[in-house]
Amino acid sequence: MDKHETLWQRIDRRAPRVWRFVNGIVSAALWLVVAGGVVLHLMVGMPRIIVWLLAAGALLHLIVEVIILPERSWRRWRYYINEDEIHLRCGVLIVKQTVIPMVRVQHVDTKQGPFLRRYGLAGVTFSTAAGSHEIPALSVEVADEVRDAIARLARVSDEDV
Amino acid sequence: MKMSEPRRMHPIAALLSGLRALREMLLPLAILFISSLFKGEMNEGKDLLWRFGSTGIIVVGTLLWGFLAWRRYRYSVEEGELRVEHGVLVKKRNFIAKQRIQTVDFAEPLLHRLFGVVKVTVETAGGEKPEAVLTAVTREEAERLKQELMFNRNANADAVQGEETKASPGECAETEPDFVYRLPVKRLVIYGATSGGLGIVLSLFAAGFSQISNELPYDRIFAFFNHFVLSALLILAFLILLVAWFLGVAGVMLKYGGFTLTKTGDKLLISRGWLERRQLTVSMKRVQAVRITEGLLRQPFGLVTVQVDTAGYGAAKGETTVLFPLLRRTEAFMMIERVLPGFCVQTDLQSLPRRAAGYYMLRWGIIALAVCFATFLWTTNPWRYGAVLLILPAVLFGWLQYRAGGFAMHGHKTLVLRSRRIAKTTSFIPRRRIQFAYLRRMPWQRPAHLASYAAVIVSGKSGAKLAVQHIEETDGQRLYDWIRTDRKREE
Repeated sequence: MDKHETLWQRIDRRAPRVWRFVNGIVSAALWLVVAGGVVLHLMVGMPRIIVWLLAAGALLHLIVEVIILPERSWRRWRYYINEDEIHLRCGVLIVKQTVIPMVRVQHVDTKQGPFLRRYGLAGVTFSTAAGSHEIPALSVEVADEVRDAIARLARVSDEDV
Repeated sequence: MKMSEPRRMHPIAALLSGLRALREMLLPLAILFISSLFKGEMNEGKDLLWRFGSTGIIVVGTLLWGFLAWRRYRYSVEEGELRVEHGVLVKKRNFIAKQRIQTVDFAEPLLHRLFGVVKVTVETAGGEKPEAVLTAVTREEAERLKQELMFNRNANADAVQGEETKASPGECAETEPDFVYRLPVKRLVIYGATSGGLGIVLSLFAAGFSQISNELPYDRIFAFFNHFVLSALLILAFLILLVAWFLGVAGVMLKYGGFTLTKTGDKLLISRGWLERRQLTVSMKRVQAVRITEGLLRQPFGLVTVQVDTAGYGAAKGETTVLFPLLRRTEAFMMIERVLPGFCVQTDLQSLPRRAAGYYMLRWGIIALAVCFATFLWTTNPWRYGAVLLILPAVLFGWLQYRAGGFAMHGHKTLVLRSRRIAKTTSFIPRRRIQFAYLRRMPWQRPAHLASYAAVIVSGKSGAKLAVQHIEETDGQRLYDWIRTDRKREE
């Protein structure tokens, strides 16, 4: 896809584990809703079809978001930073490759929620005047390196916006 | 009186802000009033008193609040800053440095015009909402304030240097405008008449009518009567449509009546509107892209609308500012060149590969088929076969979209993208205005080696995406690589 193909970096190998964990919690909540549906069916005679629909939804979520997507999504995710621009590539079905010229980057941050922290990971977010982007899961050391590199390279020219 | 003395707005501001607050409270008030109607049945007289009394107290209180807000609102221009002090309960001070001020805009809603006052909005770069709003000041005061804030910037020692040195201290900086364009009334009428509103009205009406004709109890009404009702409905529908169209035309004409574009230095001043007059300033430096739009109804007559995307202006996402409501396609470039020199380039666009046509047509064909399917599923009305007729125009529209698609990279400066959503739009984007760009490949594009490209620019408070779908993959890569910059080129 690109002549610099070898320079593209993957995100951290532990990323799918975090995503699976987070989506697993969502899934558990969904199955609780299904259980609630069963109770309502038994107690007040809520139509059975609703319970089936709820269960089908929860199952679909489990298969797609917990089992399939995290690994696939990790396999696709790439980023590549040189001194003039940042490239991101992601998307399982629809592959989207984004280029952000370094001179447009206004702000860069590392971000670590409770789940990422649990795995020793952090995300790097950087914003342009027209929206922000994220490299979702890097090991804390790499994330700090990437953040510092972007901060050093990003110089917004004055006349723009 | 000097601008440096703190002053209040025109007293009418008290009334206007009170009324506005009241208008916002109209719904809760109405609910309160109606709910009290349902409650009170026992002793009429006392209840009535209480009911009207409470509403009255709220109304008077709100108006009083408006008065207090006016009393406490003071503004002045001192030491190169606009200073605003306001707040009824909590006193707030807002100091805005002149250099940060991007625009000072006027609006004159109907009530304002009645009292001969102007609403002034002061905006700075960035920020979610206007930095300061003066609800009502006299026209002279507004002009003076604008003069003070926008042009007399160098009256202070610490003011910015550079291109704005032309206004020297004390000198009235209102120079002769470089360019003035007034929209002729004839064009205003054509602009109104070709405004897109008609299509929406038509489809809404079609939907409404199908609903009504479904509800008609065919079998219970005599055939004659049925026919009578149907034809009456048809005539009524036609009349409603006509009235809606006239209203749409009138609305657009009121909004754009007296449209004037003035260029002074690097500021573009747009004022428009017959009933509610608006005046807005666009700084040339903040223009991010120019769009030439050819609406479905305007394209056959060779008419275009010219809009600009500006940073920090426009309330909604991707809202553009109309620069020229209606121009002939042939004169568009010349006119834009006079206002924004060097922005638009006349260049041949590369059109899309043949095999992309299928994608566009198929997409609309599928949507039309889905509509047909839904129609057959939901109704048994004999008219449902009419839905099949949708397919041909849908596919044709896909073809039109395919034909509209195109792009060009003009040297190293300007990107030109052309596409059609409903209207055919040609966008001119200076490369250094592109915040980021992306290339997207759908699974079904891959076998044909097609991709979609989008450049994202700043428009209003957020971003706007300018895209072209289904281009040759290699061209997509060229577009993608084109915005890669090395800094030497950037200078």
